[in-house]
Amino acid sequence: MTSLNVSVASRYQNSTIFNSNSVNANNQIIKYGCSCGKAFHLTEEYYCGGCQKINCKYCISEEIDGYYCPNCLEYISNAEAQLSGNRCKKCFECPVCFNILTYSIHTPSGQTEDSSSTIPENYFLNCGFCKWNSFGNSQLNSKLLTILNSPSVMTGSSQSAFTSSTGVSSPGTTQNQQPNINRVLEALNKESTELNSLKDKKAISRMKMAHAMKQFLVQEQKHQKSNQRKNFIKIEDKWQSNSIPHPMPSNDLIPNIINNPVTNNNLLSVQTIKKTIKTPVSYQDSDAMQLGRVQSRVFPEVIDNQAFQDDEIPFGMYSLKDTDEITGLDQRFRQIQIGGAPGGNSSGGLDHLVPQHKYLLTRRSKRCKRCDRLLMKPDIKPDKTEFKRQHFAFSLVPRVTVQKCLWTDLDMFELFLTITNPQHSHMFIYFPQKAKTSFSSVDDNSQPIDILPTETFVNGLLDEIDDQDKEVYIQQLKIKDSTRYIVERKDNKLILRLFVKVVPSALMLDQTILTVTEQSITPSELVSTNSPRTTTAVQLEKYPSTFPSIKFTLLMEFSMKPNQLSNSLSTDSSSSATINVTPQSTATPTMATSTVSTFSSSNITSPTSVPTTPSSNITPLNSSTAGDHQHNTLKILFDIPANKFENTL
Amino acid sequence: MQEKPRYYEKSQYIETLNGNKVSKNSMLCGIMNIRLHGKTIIRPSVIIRGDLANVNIGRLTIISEGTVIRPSYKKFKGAIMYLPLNIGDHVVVGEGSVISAASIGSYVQIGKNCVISKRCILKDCCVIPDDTILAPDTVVPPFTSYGGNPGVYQEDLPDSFEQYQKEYTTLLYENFIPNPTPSIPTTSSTLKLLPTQTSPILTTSRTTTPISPLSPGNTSPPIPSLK
Ligand SMILES: [Zn+2]
Ligand SMILES: [Zn+2]
Ligand SMILES: [Zn+2]
Ligand SMILES: [Zn+2]
Repeated sequence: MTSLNVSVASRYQNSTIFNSNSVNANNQIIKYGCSCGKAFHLTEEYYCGGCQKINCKYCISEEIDGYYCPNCLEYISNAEAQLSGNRCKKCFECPVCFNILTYSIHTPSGQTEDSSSTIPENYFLNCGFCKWNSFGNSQLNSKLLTILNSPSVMTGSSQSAFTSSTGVSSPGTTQNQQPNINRVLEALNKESTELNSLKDKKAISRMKMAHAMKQFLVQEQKHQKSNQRKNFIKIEDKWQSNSIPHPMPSNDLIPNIINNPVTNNNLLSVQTIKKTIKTPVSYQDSDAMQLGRVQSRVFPEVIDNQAFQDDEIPFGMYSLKDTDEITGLDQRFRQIQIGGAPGGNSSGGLDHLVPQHKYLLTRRSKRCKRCDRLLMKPDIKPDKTEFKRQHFAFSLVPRVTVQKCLWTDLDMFELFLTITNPQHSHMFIYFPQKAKTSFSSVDDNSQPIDILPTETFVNGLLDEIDDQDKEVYIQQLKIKDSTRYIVERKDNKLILRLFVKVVPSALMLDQTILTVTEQSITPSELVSTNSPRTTTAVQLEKYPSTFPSIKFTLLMEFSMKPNQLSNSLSTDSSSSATINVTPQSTATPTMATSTVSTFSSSNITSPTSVPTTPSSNITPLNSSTAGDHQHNTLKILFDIPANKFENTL
Repeated sequence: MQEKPRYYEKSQYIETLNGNKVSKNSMLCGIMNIRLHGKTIIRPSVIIRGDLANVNIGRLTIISEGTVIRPSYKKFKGAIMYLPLNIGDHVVVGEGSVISAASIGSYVQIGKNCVISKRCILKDCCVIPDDTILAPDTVVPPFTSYGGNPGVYQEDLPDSFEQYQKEYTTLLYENFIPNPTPSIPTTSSTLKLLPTQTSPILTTSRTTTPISPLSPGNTSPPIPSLK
């Protein structure tokens, strides 16, 4: 429930080309909303177990675990990568086509193979794609031999080989510039870790609290040793490490003594605090602050005509015979050294280009920005695909895909969703009814109006039932399966039917209209056969679509344990199942029944007999263990192009 | 949007006990050297040159129409030595691609009309988008996408790519089902009409235009509009 503090979500372009419209247009249809209000495809999101929320790319912090060369797949430590300017010592990139260059041996005619190995000039770089080679560049070729022969390249430890090799491509620039850059980087790193250590709102409020406490406790401190408090005050020492008065941030927790003269004795009384604290820092404030900080990182896209024009006349442009001889923008860009003089390289012809060392790639671990929990940690070895920690939304959250959609009227359509449970045990899902009017996304033009009103389940991957009570509950739910909403159950998938109405402005829709229309909707005769295959054969009545794409938002709650609040079950006579499932799922069936018996021993003697426990008894138990099986609300944003409907005119 | 079921004519496919579905219109040369590890789909007019070296294809791997799988070679002391070609599990190869890699890992997507040149090494979890040409000896590290001409690093893939690809290939396999009613013509009917000789298959794998030289009905010039 707490995750709904940001009520409006908006669809964002997926961050990877892989999920973009041009490559995988299907991955643009369904997006999961993050609590910051942005929505992305599920593969690009994480799920934090601490906050029980989805993390989008704006709500994670990344940390570089290590570097690696994409060609030789060698792991390079952070320090080593800094020394080499984030480039591989061994691998070169073709200056013309950016392909990886291969080392080749040239054997001049008339010489035997034995003698060639002793002459350094016989090594050269060769591009297997565009046939560029370093043949004739004797300075470069002689350096290649030192790279090949240097033991440091083989072990990848010393920097001496690198500096001598970079000298090839950028004489005298990288060596001088690199330490300077390293110093700046170091300072930045230090600053960022210091900022991180503040842990945002928690640290700030703690510091404020400590400062306020010191005002009250400064006298008692003299008499007490108070080891515990020492820790507490230590944070505040940051402010008073020297005698110079510090500008103190405004602190609402300190009573305003001038306006409100009170003695030391009743400083801590409730009345005084109430009187003096006007606006304490609330969670809403800090959340809003954090949100603002997150949003400040979204940069506007650069518009083409705003980009600067390079009006420099290229060197020797007028004497040029063949335009193919001139370098392209990409090629020039790759020749530019950090702070180095480009010389003839930046605007010259192709013959000026020199091969560059291959840039390294990174392996990064990701953390939750809200609670700092580690969400993803990759294996340090560049060729491994295992993870030390993986909290992908894709493998934790029920996955929703559109199976098909059919117009049933001009402004109404049936939507068939496949819900996949990625986890091993059963998952319980529920669609909150209040979702209909509120919490929709900004540009919605439709609304789900008739969804499964009760809780249901999706089988796990392994189909394992960890306790018997859950089994009983699932059997009950199975009996209740209404064919109106539940089309099919197969393995860890559930096909669900729901009805969506197209409305010009979803936010304006009245609840009262909805309740009326709900009664009138009947599933189309075509789909009542429950077989998706036969429907395609039957000629469908076609409808024009009002919008080029249909956008709406669906709220879904999910949990690994059943929801007692399900409206159908609370009215059920056999409420024993609802009580039994509340203990930890790890408990064996016998243990589970024993906990129930202790709980209900006051009015029921035998737990086996169906107890008629009043609902008031259930609620406190439910609320006390709410943290264990909190219901996680997902905001699923749909954007279905009209041509994906089977019967769009 | 979910993948729609893809129907095939049961008579046109050979189905093995461990779930391999191999089109009768594909060409598997040197079948003794080709190993399919189960639930592999080989679509029509695919050529696998098992006569050159061993070819291993993993589970739930889909090889689309017109793809050529040809083991690569290395010159060694004047002689040509062919290298075995291993393809991992959950790999999807698009239509009209040429694969000459030394090895392709698991959870790999290769698009349409790609050329994976000699001795390329594709690690687990990588993507080669449509129309990419990988230069010989290219190494594609995990969780990256290599595209362009020549194929170079484009971007990092989502971290959950392995799970995504597992789901995707499983769905593709499950949705590849025999046609219940033989009367309904399938989309790939033009390919089925082709005889199993090598030359026509090669021409179809090269040409992406719908006009096939073998179907004379399409060769007539388009009638100019009266306006
Ligand atoms: Zn977010
Ligand atoms: Zn390298
Ligand atoms: Zn090149
Ligand atoms: Zn968190």
